[in-house]
Amino acid sequence: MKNSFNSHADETAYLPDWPEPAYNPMLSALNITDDKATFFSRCEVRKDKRYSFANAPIKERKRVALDEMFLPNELSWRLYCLVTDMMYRGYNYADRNISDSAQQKQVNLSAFNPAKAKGVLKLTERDKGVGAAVIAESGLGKTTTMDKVLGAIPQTHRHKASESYYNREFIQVSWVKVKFHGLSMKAAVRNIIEKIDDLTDDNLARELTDNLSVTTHIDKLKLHCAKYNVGMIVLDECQIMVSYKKNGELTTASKGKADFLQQIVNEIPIPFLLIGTPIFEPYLAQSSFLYRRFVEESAMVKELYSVDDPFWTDLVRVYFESYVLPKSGSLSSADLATIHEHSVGNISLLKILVSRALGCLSMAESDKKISMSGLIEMAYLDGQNEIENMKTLLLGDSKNNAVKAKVKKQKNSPSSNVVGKQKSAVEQAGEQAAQESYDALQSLL
Amino acid sequence: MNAIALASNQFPPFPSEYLPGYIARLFHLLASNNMKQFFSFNLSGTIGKTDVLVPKVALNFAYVGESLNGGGAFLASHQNARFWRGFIKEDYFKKSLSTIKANNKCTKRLFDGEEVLASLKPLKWCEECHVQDEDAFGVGIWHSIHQVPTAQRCPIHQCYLKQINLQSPETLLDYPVINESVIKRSSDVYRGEILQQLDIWSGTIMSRPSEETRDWLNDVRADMKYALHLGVGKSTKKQQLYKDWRAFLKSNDWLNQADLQAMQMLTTSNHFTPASLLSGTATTTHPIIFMLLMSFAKEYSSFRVQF
Repeated sequence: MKNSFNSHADETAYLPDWPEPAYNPMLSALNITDDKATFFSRCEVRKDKRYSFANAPIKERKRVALDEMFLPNELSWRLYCLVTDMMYRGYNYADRNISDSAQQKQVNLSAFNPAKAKGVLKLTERDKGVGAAVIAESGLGKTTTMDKVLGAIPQTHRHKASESYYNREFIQVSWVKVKFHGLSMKAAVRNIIEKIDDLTDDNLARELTDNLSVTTHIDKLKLHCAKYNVGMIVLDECQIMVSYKKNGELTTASKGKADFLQQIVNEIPIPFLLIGTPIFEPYLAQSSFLYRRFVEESAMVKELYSVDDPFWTDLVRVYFESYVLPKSGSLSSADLATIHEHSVGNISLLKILVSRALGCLSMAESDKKISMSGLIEMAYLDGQNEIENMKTLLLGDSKNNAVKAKVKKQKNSPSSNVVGKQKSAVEQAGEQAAQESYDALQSLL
Repeated sequence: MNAIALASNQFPPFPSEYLPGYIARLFHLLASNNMKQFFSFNLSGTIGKTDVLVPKVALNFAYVGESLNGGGAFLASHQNARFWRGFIKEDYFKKSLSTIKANNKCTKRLFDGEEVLASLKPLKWCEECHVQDEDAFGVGIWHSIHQVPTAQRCPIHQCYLKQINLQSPETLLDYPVINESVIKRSSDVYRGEILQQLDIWSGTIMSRPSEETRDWLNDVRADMKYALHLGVGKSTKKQQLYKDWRAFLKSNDWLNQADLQAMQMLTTSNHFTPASLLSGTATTTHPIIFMLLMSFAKEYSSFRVQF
C-alpha cells in the first residue's frame, strides 16, 4: 500500500522532463562555461608560468607584472557567473533570438509601435528593466577584474546566414562597457553608441549632438541596441554620478542623473550592470525603482583581503617571487604579514608597493645583495607618503560610506515603504554588512 | 562589408516587401537623421528625388554584395520586379541601371509615358495582408505585389485593395509602415471596368518569370498588329483606328482621377498611336499603355489575349 504522505519526489517522478530550450545562436556565441577551472584558464594571464623573468630587465618585469598579469580569483568567478547569468536571462527570449521571427517583429514594434512593444516585454516582466550592480571599494580591482571577466566573453560575433530566421548574416554585440567621466548623461549615451559603432564600423554617434533631446538620445540607443542585439551594457565608475550638498542631500544634477538612469533602463530592455564604489549604493536606494533593479541583484564586494586569504597570498607571491625578485627565493610568512600590513589587503596598494620595489631595484647596483624583507621595507619607505595617503583616503571613504549607507537607510529607506517585509530583510543585511565592513576596517587601522 | 549590406542584414527585408517601402522602413530603423548620407550610403552619390525614392538607392540594395551583371538577387523574389522587367529588354534594363549608377542623380526613365501616369501611382495595401503582417512582423508593411499600377485586387486574398494618395511634400519616408494614420487616410481603390481587365492580366504576368513575359509580349505584339491590320492597309482605315483609340482613352475609365495632362499627352502625341506602339522601335512602352492597347485591340478587333 502506498504511503498516504506522498513525497515531492513521488509527484515529480511522473512529470515529463523540462524541454530543451530552443536553439539560440545569441547564447551559443557567448561560449558560457559552468566550469570554474575552464573560466580561470580563459582569463588568467600568467607569463611567469611560461617564462623566467630572472634575467629580464626591470622595466619589462614592471610592465608585465603591473599591466598584463592577471590572477583570477573567487571574485572574478563570481562576477563571471553574475554577468553570464544576466546575459543568459536577457537573451533567452524569442524576441532576442535571431533564429526566431519574433526578434525582427519586436524590433519593428519598438520602432513603430512602442506601446505594443512594451506590452510584449510586460509579459516577461522586462518592461521595468533588468539590472545588477557591483559595489566595491576603490582598489579592490573591480574594473580590472570586470575587464578580464568580460574579456572571456566574445564581444562581437558574426552569425552565419543560416543561423538567422531571414537567412541573413548578423552581427551580434554581446556587451559594451563604458565609463562615466563626469559627462552629461547625453554624452554618456553617445559614449555607449560610439562603443557599438567602433565594434561594428557604424557611425550613428557622429550624428548625435547635445541639441537633440534626452528622449531622442534614448530612442536612438534603443534602436542601435536592437540593431546589434546587444546583450548587456556595463556602466563603470557610476559613483561619479553621486554628489552631495553640504547638508547631506543629493544635488539637483545628481538627482537628474538618477532619473535619467531610471529612464534609460526602463526604455532599453537589455541587462544593465553598474559598477561603483559603496557611495553609489545609498544613491541607488534613493529610488525604489533603481533599488529594486540594481541593489537586489548586486554583488557587494566590501571586504579587503585578509593576510591568510589564499588568493591574496598567491597574488603577493606571484608579484614578488616571479617579477620583483625572481632570483631571491620565496617570501617568508613575516614578509607576507609586512606586505599585508602596508597594503591592508588592497590590490591597488599592493601594486604601488610592487612598483616602488621595482623602482628601488633599478636604483640598486645588484639585486643579489638585497633581501626580500629589506626590499619590502625600502619600497614602503620610498612610497610611504603615497601609500599612507591612499590608505587614509580609502579607509576614510569606507568609513564614511558605511556610515552614510547606515544613515540613509535608517532615515530615508524608500525600499522598506515600497517593497515591504522582504526588502526590510535585504536592507538589514546591507546594514549589517556595512557595519561589519566598518568594524573590520577599524580593526585594521 | 559595406553599410548597405550591413544594414540590410541587421534589419532584413520581409518576404514580398515593396523595396521603396523597405528603404523607408530601414531609414527609420537605423535611427539616422542624416537623410542625405542615408541615401548615398557608400558615399558614391546622393539621391536625386526623394519624393519618389528613385532607383539610385534601390540599386544599391538590388545588387548588394554582387556585381552589376550577376546581381538582381535582392529583387528576384519580388513579383513586382518580375512585372516590370517583363516589359523591358534585359540589355536595355542593365544599360539604364548602369547609367543611373554612374550618375549621381536619376533622371532617365525606364518607360515611355511614365511621367504622365502619376495618377496611377497611389500606394496600395490589402486589409487582410495587413492583419497577417501585424501578426508576423509586428507592423503592416507595403507589399510589392500591391504596388503594380494596374493591380486592383490582392493576388493572394482576391479582395480589393485600399489606397492612399500622398500629398506633396509627403513621401514614403513619412509612411514607412502601414499604421493608424495610413489606415485613416486610405480609401477604396478605384474600380474601373478596364482596370479590372488589366488587373487580371497583370496578376498572371506577375506569376511568371520575366523571360516568359518577354516572349509572350512578342507574340501579343504580332497578334495585335495582325488583328488591327497595321501591317498593310489604307491610311483612311488607320485614321479611323487612331480616332477609335483616342476615344477609348478618353473614356477615362482607366484613370482613377481626371488626369488632363496624361490624357492630352496620350491622345495627341504620335508616339502613342497603335502603329507607333507596335512598330517594334518602341521597346520601352509603359506596361499600362501597352495593356490599354491590348484592351483596346480586344474590344475593336478579333484580337484575343492568350497566356
